[in-house]
Amino acid sequence: MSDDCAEKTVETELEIEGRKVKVRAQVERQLPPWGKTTLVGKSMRRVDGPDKVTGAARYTHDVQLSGMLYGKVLRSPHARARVAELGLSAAAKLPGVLAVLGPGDVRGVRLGGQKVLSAEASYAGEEIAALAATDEETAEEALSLIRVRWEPLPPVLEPEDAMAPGAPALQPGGNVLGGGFGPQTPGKPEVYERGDAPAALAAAEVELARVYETPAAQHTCLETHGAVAAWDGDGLTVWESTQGVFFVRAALCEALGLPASRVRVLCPFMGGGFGSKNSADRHTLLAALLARRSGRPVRMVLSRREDFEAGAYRPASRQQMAIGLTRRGRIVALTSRAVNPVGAALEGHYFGSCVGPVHDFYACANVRTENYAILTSSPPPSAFRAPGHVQGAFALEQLVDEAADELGLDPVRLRLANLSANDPDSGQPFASNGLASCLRLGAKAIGWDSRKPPRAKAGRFRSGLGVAIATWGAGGGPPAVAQVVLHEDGSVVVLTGACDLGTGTRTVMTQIAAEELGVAVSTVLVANADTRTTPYCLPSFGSLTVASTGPAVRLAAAEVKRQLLDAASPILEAPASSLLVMRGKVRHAVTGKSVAVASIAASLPARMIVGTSQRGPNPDGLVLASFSAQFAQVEVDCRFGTVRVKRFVSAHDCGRVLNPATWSSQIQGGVLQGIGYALLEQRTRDPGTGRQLNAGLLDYKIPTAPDSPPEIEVIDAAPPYPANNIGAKGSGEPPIIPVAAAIANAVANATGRRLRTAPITPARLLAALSAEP
Amino acid sequence: MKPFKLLTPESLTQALAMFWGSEGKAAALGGGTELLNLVRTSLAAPGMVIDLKKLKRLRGVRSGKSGVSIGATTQLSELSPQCRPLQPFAALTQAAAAVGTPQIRNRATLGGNLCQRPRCLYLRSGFDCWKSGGKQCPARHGETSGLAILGTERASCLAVHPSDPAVALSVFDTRVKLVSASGSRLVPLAQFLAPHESDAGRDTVLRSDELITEVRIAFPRPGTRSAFVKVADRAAFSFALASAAAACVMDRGTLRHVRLALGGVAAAPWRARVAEEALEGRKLTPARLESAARVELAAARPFERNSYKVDLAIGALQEALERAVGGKL
Amino acid sequence: MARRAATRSSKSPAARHVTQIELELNGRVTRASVPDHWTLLEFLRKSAGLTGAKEGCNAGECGACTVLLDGVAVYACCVLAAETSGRRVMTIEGLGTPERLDPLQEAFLVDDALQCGFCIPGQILAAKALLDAEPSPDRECVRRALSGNLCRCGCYVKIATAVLRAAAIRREPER
Repeated sequence: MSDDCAEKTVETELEIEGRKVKVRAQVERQLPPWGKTTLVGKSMRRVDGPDKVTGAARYTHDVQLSGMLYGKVLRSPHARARVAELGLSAAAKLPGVLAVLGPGDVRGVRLGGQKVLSAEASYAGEEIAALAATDEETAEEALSLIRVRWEPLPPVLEPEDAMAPGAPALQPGGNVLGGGFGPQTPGKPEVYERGDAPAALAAAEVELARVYETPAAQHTCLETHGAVAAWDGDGLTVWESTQGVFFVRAALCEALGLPASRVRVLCPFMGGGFGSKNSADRHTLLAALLARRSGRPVRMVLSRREDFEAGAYRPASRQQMAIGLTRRGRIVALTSRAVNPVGAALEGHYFGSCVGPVHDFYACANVRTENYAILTSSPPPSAFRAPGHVQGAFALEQLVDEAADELGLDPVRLRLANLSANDPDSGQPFASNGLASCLRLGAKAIGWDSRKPPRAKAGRFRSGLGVAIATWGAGGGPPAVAQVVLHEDGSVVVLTGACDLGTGTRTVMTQIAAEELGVAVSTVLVANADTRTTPYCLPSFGSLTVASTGPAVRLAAAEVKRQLLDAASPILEAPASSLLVMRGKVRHAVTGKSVAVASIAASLPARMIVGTSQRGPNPDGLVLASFSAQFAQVEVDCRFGTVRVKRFVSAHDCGRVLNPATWSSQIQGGVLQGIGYALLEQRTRDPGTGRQLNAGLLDYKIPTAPDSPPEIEVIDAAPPYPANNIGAKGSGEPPIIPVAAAIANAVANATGRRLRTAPITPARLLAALSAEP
Repeated sequence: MKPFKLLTPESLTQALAMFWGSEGKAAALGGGTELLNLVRTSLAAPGMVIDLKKLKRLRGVRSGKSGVSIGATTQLSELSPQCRPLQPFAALTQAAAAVGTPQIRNRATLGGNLCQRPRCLYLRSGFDCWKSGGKQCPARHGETSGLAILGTERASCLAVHPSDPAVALSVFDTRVKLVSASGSRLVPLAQFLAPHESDAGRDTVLRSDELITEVRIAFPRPGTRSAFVKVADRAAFSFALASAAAACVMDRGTLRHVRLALGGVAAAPWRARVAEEALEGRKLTPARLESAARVELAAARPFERNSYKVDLAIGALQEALERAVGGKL
Repeated sequence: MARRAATRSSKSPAARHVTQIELELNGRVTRASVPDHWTLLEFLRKSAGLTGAKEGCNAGECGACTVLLDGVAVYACCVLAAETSGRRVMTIEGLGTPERLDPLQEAFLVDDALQCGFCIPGQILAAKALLDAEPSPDRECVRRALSGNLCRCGCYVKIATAVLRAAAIRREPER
C-alpha cells in the first residue's frame, strides 16, 4: 500500500457479542461513501446457491478421504463421577480399530485450558475415551467393549443447590462465578451500577417488581458438530464445520504445539452455527490426535444425540427485575438480579450477559444489575445468537409492557418516550440510530392502532398484538484482512477468511468487490475460509462479518482499481484521475475512449494486480449499534392453550442493506428461532441424574414450516451510517432478540395473562388462563 | 446400527416359518420408521429382520360385507379420505393424516403404528425402566409432564400410548388379526393393547412368533359420523399431548350410539365410557358436552406437571364430538 | 431383485450379512453389494458417493435425507438399502446440475429460499413430490407438505414462496 497512513496503528474498540474489546488497528485509507450503486443494495442471487440446490456443496459431513477412519467418543453417562478404572484393551484389540485414546494418553493436551478427555466427569456426555476404526459399526462395537468402573458422585443440578451452604464445590474456586462472560469475580456477582437505582426505585411514583424465567435452549444446527482431520508428515489439515477457521487453527496450534504454517483449517460449507461453532471443540482435537496415532484421516462427526447432550446451549436464567417510573411513563430506575446456571463453564466459555438489555435499551439514569453465573453438573454453555440479550429482552421487554399496562399507556408510546439519543451506558452518541423509525414503521405495518385491550376480547380464540425492541452492538471492526486479485484475463478473486454460515457472506463480498472495481459480478469469485490461502479475520460471530470484512474487501478492491487505472493511464494517454471502470472496461470520463480490463491485466509485467487491505479502526467517541423493533400478532386458542403467530413484522436499522434478498432471509430466520424460543424450545433433563431427556429432534422441538407465520414482513428503517466505508452494520443477531417478548406481550394483550416463563407451552398457558387474573 | 440379517419372504407361510424358526430373535419390518430407531438406540437387537412388504395380502384396504379390512403393511398415507372403503371412518383417516410428517406417513404402516413402543422420554433416552426390561419407572419421580393421567392407579409404567390411529380405531369395533405358524386369532383392539399386568415390558399381546396381518373394522350404524382431534405443541413431528376421537349418530338433535376415546392420557386409548353414558340419548348442548367430558376426567390422577392434560382431554373430547356432528351445536 | 450373498464371518461386522441390489438410481441402473443393516442414506453417502442427502438426525426426525423412492418422498435413514432393489431412487443429484437447474431449484435461487443449505436438498425433493402429485397447491398446502423438513436457519416463508413459483413455472405450457 502506498499511503503512509498505512503504517500507522491506533487503538480502537469493537463490540463482540455484547462485550467491548480494545484492539489495535491500522489506520485505513479513507474512501468516500459510495454514491449511486449498481450492485450493492440490490437483491442478487447467492453465488453459492447453485451448489446448494443441487447437492454439489460439500460440507464437513460430506468429506470423504481415502483410508478415512470413523472416530467415536465414549461419554460419561453420569452427571458427576470419577472413572475408577478404564479398560481399553478389548476395544483396542478389535480388528479394524486403529487408535484408542484414554485420559492417560492425552494428559498434557489442553484445549482452551481444558482437558480433552477426562477421568472425572463434570457432566453427562463428557468425553472419557475416543477411538477410530475402519467403519462406523466397528467403532460402535469397540465403544461397547470399553470397560469403565464408575464412582458416581451426587450431581449438583440446580443453581439453588449449587449456591446452598455445604454444596460440593464443582471447581476449586467454588460454585459462584461472577458475570455473564465467564468467571470474572469468583464468589461474587458481577455488579453494574449507574446512578442510584435503589433510591430511585424507592422514590418512584410507580414501581413494579417481577420475576422472569427462561429455559436452556440449544442451537440445533442441522449439520451437527464435526471435523475431518488428516496429517501429511507433520502438517495437519482439518475440515471443520465452523464459524471461524482461524480460531480453530489457533486452538489446534496451541493444543498440539504446531506452528500456524503447519495447520490448515477449511470450511467451504457449513450447516449452521448460531454461536455454537466459534472455535475448535474436543471432537476436533480428538480427530487430530486419533489421526496422528493411526496414521489415517479421521472423521469425527457427532451424532444428533451427542450434539445435544454434550453440545452447547443458551443458559437458562432467572431474572428478578424491578422498574420505577413516573406516572407519565418516564423510566427512572431499573434493577435486575439475574442467576444463570452455566454448567461446567470455565474461563473462555462464553455465554453472554442477560443483564445487557437493562443497561442498553432505555434512557434511564439509575440502573443496577447483579449477575450470577452458577456452576452446575451440566455441560458448559456457549454463545447462542445474541447471547444474553435474548434472555434479557424476554424479561425487560415484558416488564416495560407490564409497566405500560399499569400506567394505562400505549406500549409503543412508552417505548418511544424512553428511547435514548445517546448510548445509555457510555453517554456517547450513536453513529446512527433508527430505533424510533423501526417502532413507527413497524407499528404502522402491523396495524397497531387497531390494538384493543384484553377486556375487549372473549371467546375461545383471542387475538393480540405485542411489541418489543432491541439494541445490539453490531458495528464490527478489526482485525479483518482481505485480498483482491485481478488475474490476467480480467477475472477477479476475492480472498477472505470469513466463513459463510448461510448468511450470504460470499455473495455480499462479491457485490462489494464488483461494485468497487466496476466489473460484472460474474467475473468475481470469492474464495474463503481456508487458513492456508485466505487472510485473517475473526469468526463470523457477533453480527460482525459484513461490517468487519466488507470494508476491508472494498479497500482491497479500491487498491486494485488504483493500480489498474495507473496501468491504463499510458494506454489511454490520460491521467489516471480522469479514468473510471465501467462494465469491465477502463474508460475516459470525457472522451469515452476505453480499453478492456482484461487486456490491461494481460499487458502487466506481473500479469496480475494484488490488493491487500485491512479493516481500519472504528471512529472514536461514537457507539455502533444495530436496532430493531418487532411486532407480533398472535391468536390464542383458550381451549388448548396453544398460540399461533399469525403475523410478524420485523423492522431494523442495520445500516445499509447490501443485498435485500439475503438480508431478509437472515431476518426471517432470526424471527423463526425466536418463535421457537418463545413457544417450543427447552432442554429437558432428568431432575435426579441430570441426563438430558430430549436429546433428539423429535423431543427438542424447533419450529416446522406450519409453525411459521405465513409471512414475516421485514422493514428496513435505517438512516445513513457513516462509521465504515460500506455504510453497513450487522444484522445476524438483532432479529432474534425481541421475538419472545413481543410474542409474550401479544399473548398478554390477547388474554390479559402474563406468561413470565418461556417457553409459553399449553401447560403454562392453560394454568395462567385458569388462574384469577 | 447393530448389524442384522435381512430376510424378504415372498409368502405369508414363508414369513411365518421364519418367525417360528427365529426363536424370538426376529423383528418384523414394515415402514422402518420405528424399528430402525429401536435398533439404533439398542432398544431392539434383532438377529434378523423380516421385511413384510413383499406380502401382497398384507397390503391395502378391502371392503367386505360387515366392514373393512386394512392390511397390516398398508401405509398411513393410503388411509386417506380418498380411499372409498374408508369413507364411513372419518376419524381414522383424520388420525392417519395427523401422524408425524408426510414422509413418515408415506412409509409407516398401520400394523407398525399399533405396535409402536411408547415415546416416553426415559425409555427413549436409555434409562432402565419397565419397558426396557427393568423393574422401575424413573419417570414417576422425575420429569412427569408427558405421563398418563388415567388408569394409573395400579400401573407400573406410566407412559402413554403414542398412536393416533389407535385412538380413532377405538370408537369403532376394531379387531386385530394375529397369525402364527400354528394358527390365527382375532383380538379386539383394546385387548390387543392390554398385555397382562405381569408383563410390563410389553406393549401388546403379540407373541414373538406372531404377525399382525390385518386390522378389521366393522361398519358403524348408518348415519354414524366421526372425527379425530389431536392437540400438539408443534404442527408436525409431534406425538399428541392429548387427542380424542368421537363417533355418534345424530337423530333429530339427539345423540345415539356415542363412542368416545382419548389418546395421550393412558397406557392405551381410553374409552370415555362415563362421558358416553352421560350423552347417550340426550340432546347435544355445549353445557352437557362439557359436563360429560369433565365427569369423565374426574377419574384422572395427574401429577403436578401433567395436570394440563386434564384440560386438554376435556377440550379434546368436546372438540371431537363437535366436529363429528359437523359443528351443529 | 435381491439376491442373497453368502454370509461369511468377516473382520468387519458391517460385512457379515450382505445383499446384492440393483436399483435405478437417478435414472441409471446401479448394482451394489450392501450390508443388510445399511440404510439407503448410508448406501448413498458411503457407497454411491452421493452426499446431497444429508444426515441431520439418523432417526427420521429432520427431513434432511429426504429422497424420492418410486417418486414418493421418504426419509432415506428409515429405508434399508436392501429394500430398494428393483426400485427407483432419486436424490438431489438426479434432479438438476448447477448448469441445468430444475424449475424448483431455479425458484429456490430466485426467492433466496435457502441459507446454510444443509436442509435444502431434502426440501426440494419433498417439494417435487408435492408438485408431481398436486400441480396447483396453495401456500397452506405447501407448508403442510413440507412440514417434514426442518430448517433451522428459518427459511420456511421463502421456501413456500419458491415452491409456489416453481408450481407456476411448471404449469406453463411447454415452449
